[in-house]
Formats: sequence, C-alpha cells, structure tokens
Amino acid sequence: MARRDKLFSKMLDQFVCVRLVQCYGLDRDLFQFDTDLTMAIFFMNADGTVYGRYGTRAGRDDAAFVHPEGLRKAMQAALGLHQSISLLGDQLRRKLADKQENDTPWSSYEQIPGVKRRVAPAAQDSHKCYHCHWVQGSEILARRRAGKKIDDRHLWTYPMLDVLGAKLDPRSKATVQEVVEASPAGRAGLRRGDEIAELNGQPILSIADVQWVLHRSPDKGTVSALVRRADRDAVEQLTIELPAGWRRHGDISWRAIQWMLRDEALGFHMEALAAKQKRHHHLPADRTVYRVTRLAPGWYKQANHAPQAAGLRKGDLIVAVNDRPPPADMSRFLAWIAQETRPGDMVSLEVVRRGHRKTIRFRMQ
Amino acid sequence: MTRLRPSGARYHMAWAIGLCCPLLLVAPSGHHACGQDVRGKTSLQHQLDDLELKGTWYYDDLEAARKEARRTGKPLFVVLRCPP
Repeated sequence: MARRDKLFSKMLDQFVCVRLVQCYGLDRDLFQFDTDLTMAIFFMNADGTVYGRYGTRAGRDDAAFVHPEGLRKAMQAALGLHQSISLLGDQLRRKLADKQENDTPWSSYEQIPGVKRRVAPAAQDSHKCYHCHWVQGSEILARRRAGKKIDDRHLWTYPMLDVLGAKLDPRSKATVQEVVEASPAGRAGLRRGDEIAELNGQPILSIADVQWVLHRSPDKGTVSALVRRADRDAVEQLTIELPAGWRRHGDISWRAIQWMLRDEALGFHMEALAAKQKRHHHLPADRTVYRVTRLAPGWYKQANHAPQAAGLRKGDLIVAVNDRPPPADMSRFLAWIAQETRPGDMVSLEVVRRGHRKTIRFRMQ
Repeated sequence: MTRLRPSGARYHMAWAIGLCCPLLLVAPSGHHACGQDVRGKTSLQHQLDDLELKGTWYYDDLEAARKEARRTGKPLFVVLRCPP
C-alpha cells in the first residue's frame, strides 16, 4: 500500500486536486455523473472541458468495478489529453464536447422539485450529507407528477457494456475481458483483448466513459467504436447495434430510485419469492410471485399509504397485478411503477394470505 | 494533527488510500466529531470526519482550484465523494 501511495502521490502532483463533499450548489451543467456512485472522479481542464470520468458501480458492491490500476491508467490518459489540447486545440475540444450534456433540465440539484424539502437542512448544517443518491428518484418523481413520459433512459441510467454482451476489465481503461458471441457486441466483431479507444468519437479513459456514451445513446440505433486489437498493432472501426429495449438487460433494482418509487408512488416494498418458497405455498413455478416486505411507514409523509389503508399487509404474496402476472423481476416492477402507472390510477392486487386469496385495490400516488 | 484552515484554503493532511476493494480515497478515521474535543469544530472537514487526506487538496472550493489550474497549467482531478 505504501508503494501504491507513492505512485498515486506522484501522479496526483501533476493535477490540481479538488474534493467536493456536498452537492448543494453543484453545477450540474459541469458535473454529470451517476449519482448512485459513492465516488466519482472527473479529469478536467480549468476551462471546464471534461477529459474523462472514473468511477463505476453496477450493483450493491460499490467497489467491484474500480481498481487502482484502472484509475492510474485513466489518470495517465487524462494527462495525455491535457498535453494534446494545447497542440490540437479546437480539433480535440470538438471530440470532447459530448463528454458533457448541454440539455440538463435542472442546472442544480436544488432546482429539482422535491429535492429541497429533503436536503434543505444540509445547507445549514454542513456535516450532513447531501444524499445525491436521492437525485435520480427525485427527477423521476418530478417527471411523474408533471405528467411527463419516463423513458428507459431515465431508469436504466449509465448502462454497462455488459448489457450489449461485453465485459470490461476494471484493471484497464476499457479492455474487453469477455464477449458473448450472440450479442450486439459479438456481432459487431468485438473480441477479448480489444481496447476501446473511442466510442462515438469520444476518447475513452475508463469504464465510466463507456457508460457515459451508452447513457446518452438512443433507445434504438448504433454506437461506433474505435478499437485497438490485442493481436495486432491496428485500430478498427466497429458498429455496435442498439436493438430496441437494449437497456432492459441491465439491473436497476439496486439503485436508490427503488426506495422512492416503492414508498412514494406504490406504497410498499416487496421481494421475489424463490422457487422453494413458491412450492411451499403451492404457487405456480412459472410465475413471479412477490412477498410484501414492508409497508410505507406512517412517519413518511410523502409516501403512499393507500395500500395499507386498503388492507395490504406485510407478508402478503402478490400473485397478480391488474389481473395480469406480476412483472418478471424487480427492475421491471420498478419500470411498471414509473412507466405504466400515473398518480391516481387504480391498481388491483391479487394476494395470497394464509392460503386464502384476496383482492386489494388502491390508488397510485 | 495540523490545525485545519477554513474551507477554501489549501492544506496538507495525511491521506491513506485504501486501494484494495473497496476503493476509498479516504480511510475513515474511526473517530466522530460528535462528543469529542476536536479542534476546528467549525471546519467542514472535521464536521464530516474527513480527516485523513495526504497531499494538497482544495476542499469544497472549485473556483480556487480552477484558478490554480490556470496558473500552473495543470489539469484538475475532481473527486465527488461523501466521506463515510
């Protein structure tokens, strides 16, 4: 660890290092990142040009996709871009322009409806965390309440390349570790050992940079990749297809939006029953069944208390939603809440309680 | 421990990088400011218990860092992180 410490210290000396620990007042036009991260790094020019990002999370383990070697390589690449910018100027700036979004609906977190009432105390009491993981949920609820459409890109944010069939090595910048042949990545010709040098013309410094490009990609279309082949000293241009619904191969059930969608829109939390539990309750094996694990607590003023008032109880087994099988997995359940229901919609749940079936009806919020 | 200057100033501290999983740029000090006689109580870092940084960091002051980056010609390394 001492050796790594010196290595990083030496590299860090080539940067001006900034630590931002509260997002109150943070300029979202400058800093756009996955707010479910526990750590996000930006490599930037003083004029605000973003060279790249570092920091990736794809599940509850917030360290599975970060590695000191990957960070070091990203830092080295950022230094390279910084040196190049004085030579290449506008040409390089054009390639880097898409590293930032110019159409953020809210330029600061405080502007998102609903955020201020959650975090206002933090402004006065600086030792409280801003809780930026509330941001995505607040945005989705704000869109929901305004009657705006919620697309897959609002829910399945910062997708990993895994959803297109390729795993990247966290010890590298963006080197392919595995490829599924029968996948968009495989069909595009991506191979193990390939280094993704650019995506859609953007220089790639890290897995986070790959996620950024995919985050900004359409629901159906293509992504162009410039790859450096492992077996020869050559670069090749590949085109990766984005089929309709490509984002839905990712898992969003670990994201913080689950808390706000389930408490405030739906009114309860649930978990899918394992096969053994379904057999125990004599329920069909081929249908997803959910157990109610928690009803929105009374002290949570913004939560939907209608399901509890309608008679839903902890432990109830949900076997149908609006006369149809429940969504197949938790990600799809969250998507159903956000995309297929509106505040005020009547929902009908068929539940099994101590071997008896009941219908619970309540309004979404 | 070096007395911390108010937020916005440069200062030097001890920085232990936990580079094994999980990746941490700050090692928790194990002490919490509440109930302890901590100097510089109004300091943001003490309040956040974010005390183990090595090297020179601009703490919650992007504008000062950008000014320094323009002066030195260096790029910025900006970490957004809630301390544990």
